[in-house]
Amino acid sequence: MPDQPLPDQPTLDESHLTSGTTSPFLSGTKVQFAWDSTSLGYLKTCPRLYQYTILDGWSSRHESVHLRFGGEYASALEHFNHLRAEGGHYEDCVRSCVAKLLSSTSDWIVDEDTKAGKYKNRDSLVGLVVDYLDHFRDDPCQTYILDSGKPAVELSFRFELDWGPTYRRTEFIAELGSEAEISDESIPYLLCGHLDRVVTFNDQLFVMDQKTTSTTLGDRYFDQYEPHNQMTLYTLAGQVILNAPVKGVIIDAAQIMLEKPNRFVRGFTYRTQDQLDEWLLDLRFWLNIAESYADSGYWPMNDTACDKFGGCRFREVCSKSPEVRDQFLRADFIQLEEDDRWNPLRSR
Amino acid sequence: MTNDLDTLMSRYEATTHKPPHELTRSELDTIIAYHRAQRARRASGERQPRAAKPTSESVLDFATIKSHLKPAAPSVGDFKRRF
Repeated sequence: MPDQPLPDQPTLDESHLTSGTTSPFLSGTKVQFAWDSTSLGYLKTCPRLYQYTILDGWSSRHESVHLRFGGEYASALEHFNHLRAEGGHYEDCVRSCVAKLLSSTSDWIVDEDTKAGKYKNRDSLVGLVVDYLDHFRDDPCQTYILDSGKPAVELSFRFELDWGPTYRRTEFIAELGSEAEISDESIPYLLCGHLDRVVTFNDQLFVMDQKTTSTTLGDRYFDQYEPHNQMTLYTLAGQVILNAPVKGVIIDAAQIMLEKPNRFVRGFTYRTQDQLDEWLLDLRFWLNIAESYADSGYWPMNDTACDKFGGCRFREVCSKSPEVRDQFLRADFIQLEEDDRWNPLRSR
Repeated sequence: MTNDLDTLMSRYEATTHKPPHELTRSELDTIIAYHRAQRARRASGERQPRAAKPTSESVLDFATIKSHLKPAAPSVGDFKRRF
């Protein structure tokens, strides 16, 4: 049974959906004008972390098991939701989903002797997807159907803010017959990202975001999403691109278990209009600070954040004396080509 | 139940050696059935069957036995019994 649209269906402004890729920086500068929750999160956590990852493109030599697992999981569910919305039979959709997952992970080799690899590997991924689909076979959350008839899954969005960075550059001015420094504020900031799924639940609209974890899904787990940079941005994005009162985000969490059945728990995180306004006000300050870092060409270290989220991957580098830091960075990380670096404007 | 799972497991293992694009509909169903059976097994509290590990070593292999032996720790004062 395909999902049905709401009776009073909000309209999607498709101009906010994205395709193609351009640089998220003002030409010839380190001033970023297109932001997503990842780059903004790095900036808020530690400007030096933002510099290393977003600006300089330093990346771990080894692929992150967590990132690959989460990405493959979300892609598999997206594929399933597309097929179901087109009216596919449940078992056919599960089979197609598993086939696609096996194919996309055929090159994925995980060291299952590590803690991460024990929980997150190809076999546990397929098991988790099958378990999820069976668990939510009669899902009370219905995928929202766009005006185009397509299901609202994996929506890449971007929208403009009503202010932008100051773009200082030198240009040849014909009237003057010479070069002059001009200050331009005509390029607005953009907020970008990807919504896993937009759903209706109890006649209300929510963004749904899939998470996988090996930690217990209790209050403590869900508390981390309130307040939360990504979830606030996604609520705001849902409201802007659907032009409808999206209430918040449903955290669609899956707990990977080794000896017990996998667990699936959904947590709701709501945002009021005042909370969204406050987040946008704070954003003005954060982006202003980012501009000042770019102007000065210096991104300071926040040494109170090094132990967060299990420890920053650059901790070893930052712990070294500045004059030898670059050597350690080159030894432990690879610098991605500019086209391969994290880009909020890249559509999925 | 265990026999069914064993049969399913051997059929499942046969699929793991095939390139994904060569998997037939029936083999994909086997993979799905295997994961569903694993879920049922976990729900019932039954432990994962593991590959057999050697439980003993040849007594003739003195080097192996020696590597397992630890010298007795010297006495270091009063031993306190904790109850």
